[in-house]
Amino acid sequence: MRYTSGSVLAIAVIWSSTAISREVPVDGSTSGYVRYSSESRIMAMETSLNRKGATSNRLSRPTVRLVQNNSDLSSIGNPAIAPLKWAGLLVNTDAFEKDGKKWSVNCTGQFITERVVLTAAHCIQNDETGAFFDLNKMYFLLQYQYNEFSQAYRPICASRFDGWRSSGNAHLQWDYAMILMDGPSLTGYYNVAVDWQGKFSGATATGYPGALLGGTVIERAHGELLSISDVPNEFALKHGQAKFTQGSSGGAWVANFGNKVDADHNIIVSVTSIGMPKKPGLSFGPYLTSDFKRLLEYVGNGCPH
Amino acid sequence: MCAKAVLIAMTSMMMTSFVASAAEPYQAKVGDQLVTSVTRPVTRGIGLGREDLLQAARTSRPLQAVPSNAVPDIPSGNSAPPNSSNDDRR
Repeated sequence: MRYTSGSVLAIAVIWSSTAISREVPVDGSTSGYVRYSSESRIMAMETSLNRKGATSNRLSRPTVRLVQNNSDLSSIGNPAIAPLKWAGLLVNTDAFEKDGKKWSVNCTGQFITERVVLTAAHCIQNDETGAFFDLNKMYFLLQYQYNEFSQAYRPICASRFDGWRSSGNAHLQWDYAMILMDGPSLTGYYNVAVDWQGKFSGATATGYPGALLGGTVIERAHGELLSISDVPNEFALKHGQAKFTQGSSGGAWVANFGNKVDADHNIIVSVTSIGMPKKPGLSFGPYLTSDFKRLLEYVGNGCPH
Repeated sequence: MCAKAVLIAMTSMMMTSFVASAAEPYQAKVGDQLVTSVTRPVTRGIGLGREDLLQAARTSRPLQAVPSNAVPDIPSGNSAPPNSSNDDRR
């Protein structure tokens, strides 16, 4: 069975109870790292989800079926095509320990150059303790969807502005970080706009919010860009989707979202930083300035001392 | 006995060099802003395998920044209404 983007159909997954369980400790095994080098793997993945044992490693896959007119699922994005083929799940494995178990945490990231992934600052540094997550346990799973991904990347270095650790709401403008990966994106990368105020009125938030299908699919939610009066260089995106919260951190806000790959489409204007229970349907993100481009150059050069 | 001790010491040093330690964050100035970076330590291991990564992804918890108590003030009607097309230009 094949599905295509732009269809009124949406995809639902019947997960087994173990597939959606979030109570399983992470296995710290280091055996058999596999790199998938085929650019078309995600396309193959899309068409083989219903085939049993279709791949060499014989993964068990959830059953996939198509459903119609389910508004909850209509926001599911297609990571096989632009722009979401440039995004993925950022996983910090064994990020913390609780009740004798090791737990991993996740965010959203996306390529903005051939080797650099953009995410939120709080996705590389523990917001509560101030400790950076161990880069040796960080992985970026490109085109993650329905328990599949096309390629896993490991970080070389990661950077964020020190303003992120300053006090008050002003630190929110610095909630972005960049990670130099150990290999080039096989699918391409986004455009980015800085100092864009006056140019764009809306954007599409993207990410893996845990509230929908357990964070196993990438979502998109279009909305209006609103400036924040009491926080410098901070914007809100009024997309109206209350479930678009945790897990979408670091996910791009994309102006002119579409499957065209050119300079006029798929332009990142911010990333999801925070959401607030008192303001459902709103995401908050930093306004990108020329500092953004300077950080990109710095990280692209290997985060030199 | 002495040769054995030397052998043990050398083996220990070699083993230690293969074990990664968490890299210390370091600062640099980028433009007129300070940035802090971390670098992945060099390790011999090749990392988690595909199934371990999928397991970690499945069982991971979504991160969210801890917002301050103050809720940012959003003036109403300060922007054009959203459109349904993929053209977000003003």
